[in-house]
Amino acid sequence: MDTKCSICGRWTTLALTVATLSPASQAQPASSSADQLAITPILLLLLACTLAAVLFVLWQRRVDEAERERLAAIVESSQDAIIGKDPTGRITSWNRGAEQLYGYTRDEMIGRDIRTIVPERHIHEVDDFLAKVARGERVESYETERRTKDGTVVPVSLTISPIRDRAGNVTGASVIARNVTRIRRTEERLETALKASPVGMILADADGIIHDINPAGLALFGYDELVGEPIEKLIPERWRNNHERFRANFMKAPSTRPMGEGRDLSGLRQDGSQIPVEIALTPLPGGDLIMASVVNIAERKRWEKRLEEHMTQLERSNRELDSFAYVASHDLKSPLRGIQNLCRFIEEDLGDAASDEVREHLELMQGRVARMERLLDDLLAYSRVGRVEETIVEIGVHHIIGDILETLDVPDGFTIEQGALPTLVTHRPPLEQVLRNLIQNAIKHHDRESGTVRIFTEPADNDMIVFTVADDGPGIPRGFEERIFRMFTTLAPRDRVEGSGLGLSLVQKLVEHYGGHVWLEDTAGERGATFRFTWPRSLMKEAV
Amino acid sequence: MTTQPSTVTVLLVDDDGVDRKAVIRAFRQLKIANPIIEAEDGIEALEILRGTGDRPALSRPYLILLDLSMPRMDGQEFLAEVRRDEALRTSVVFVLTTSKADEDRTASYRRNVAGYIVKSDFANEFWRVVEMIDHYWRVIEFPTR
Repeated sequence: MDTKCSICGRWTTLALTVATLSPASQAQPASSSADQLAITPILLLLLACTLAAVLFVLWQRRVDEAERERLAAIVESSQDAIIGKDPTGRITSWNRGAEQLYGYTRDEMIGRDIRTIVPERHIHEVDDFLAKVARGERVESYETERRTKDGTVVPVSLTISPIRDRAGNVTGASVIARNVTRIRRTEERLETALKASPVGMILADADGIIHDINPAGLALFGYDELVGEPIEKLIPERWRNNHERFRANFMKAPSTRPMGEGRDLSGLRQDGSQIPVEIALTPLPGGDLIMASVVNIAERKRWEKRLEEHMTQLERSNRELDSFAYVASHDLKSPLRGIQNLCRFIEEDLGDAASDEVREHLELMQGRVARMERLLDDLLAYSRVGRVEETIVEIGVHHIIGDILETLDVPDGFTIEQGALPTLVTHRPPLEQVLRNLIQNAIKHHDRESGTVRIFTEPADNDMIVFTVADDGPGIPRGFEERIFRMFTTLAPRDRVEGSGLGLSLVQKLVEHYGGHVWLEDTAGERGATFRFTWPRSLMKEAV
Repeated sequence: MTTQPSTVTVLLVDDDGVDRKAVIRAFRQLKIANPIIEAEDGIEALEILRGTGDRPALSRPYLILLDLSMPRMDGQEFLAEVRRDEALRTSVVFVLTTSKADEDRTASYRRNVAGYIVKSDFANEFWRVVEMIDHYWRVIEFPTR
């Protein structure tokens, strides 16, 4: 503006000069025509210059105008509130951002005091700002609050700069205000989350100085305050030196990871006690702070210890059960065998002198002894499921069945039909036991002179095989489907059908031990019992 | 064929008197007259073999029928001791037990028993055992030292 004004002034002066010269030349027309002739080009040149200057100024003005409009447009379109005020705080400009943020229109606010939008408790700040600005200082990113037209108080971040005139005098201030509600809310949420978290969270810098710690962190280590303290304060002495080294290494290549993997970590509390902890390290954006999340695992450790104790107890009682089973098989059996032998001695010694009744009683006695012995054998087998190391073999199921039938004394009237049976990779003795018990039951419980037992398999899900052992005997009455699998349970009196009541219990225990299940097919009240069970095709892992 | 049979002595080690009786009965019923010496446990059996006290050591040839579960010194302990003992280690031992456990069987054969026999549940079974033993010593040459 300055130069423009001076050009304007010069132009005015030149114009006057031209005006005064002209009459003079008319007054002396003849005296100096040569002079006149010499002056005319100079005048023309002057005129041209003047014209150019005028055009330049006009152009310059238009450029300035455009520039100003452009700046105004930028200010107008800014999301931030941009406000101008004079040194007393009177508002001189108010952009659209200010209208949006504060709810007041430009017309409402021009000429009013900036304190209109300042809540009571922040009024004193305005005087500070004005004083600072008067001294030519800036206020940068100052977080405070402002009140909008509807009375809502919003958190804002202010940047205030002095406005100067050409001479450099401060003539007012520009205020850029940004609504930080969302940022503040995010911060508050984070803050709340940190405060509420049961996990101890510690922010520390590369030098291991604690910048922030949440209440859980303080409680964990038993302190009221730790900000500004070195993190090593929380580390038991024997690891303190190492920690400084670890920290330096971590800072070289920060990444999110658990701390001290594979080692048991302890934290040092204010009272000198140590607690087992688990720590995760996270470098925070910005690169200067590390967050350590610390969990007190004392409780977990306690549970682990208790679990371990229970496991030990369980193992011990399993061993005891095992030795009980052994005792049952041996110590309970030997007096039985004594009875059996003595019975036989008596029988032998009496010879023909024994009455039929004596002979019958001795026979019954032998029968009971045999039953007791079988019961003990089955009990032993039952108790040993899963506790005997077996060898994995590849075996055709028809081989197993062949061997079973050879030792089973299948009565003449019975036929055993076998389907196409697969070859399995399995422990042979348990599978043989299961099949033997089912086939034996089918024959033993049959109520007729002749019968058929059918054995076949089908593939099932998860690489299992479904075995079916179906007979055409009397079948199992409805309502007993579950009961038959119970220990020491039989459906027929033992005098009629010998049995320990453990056969199916053993089948069930064995099948379930190998991840299968056994069930009785519903034959809808028809004759015949159909047992099915699943068994893994292979006990080898696929990769092997 | 051989001069042995009449001289082989049976050392019967079993804590159950009825079982011992049953074995002896079977020998007598099969008219086998070889001498039978009874011991109630491993310690007594060792005393007999070594001739501890005032009696002489059991002279060869002899054959030991050994129960496993016994008080004081059980069958496995007795076997271990016999195999350690330079003078006894060649003894021919048959285990005669109620235990069908694999562990027992394996442990017995590891200690070089001549056979592992399970006393089964049926009458006359001692006969079979005694018959087998009778055949055994008719055929087998016994160690002399």
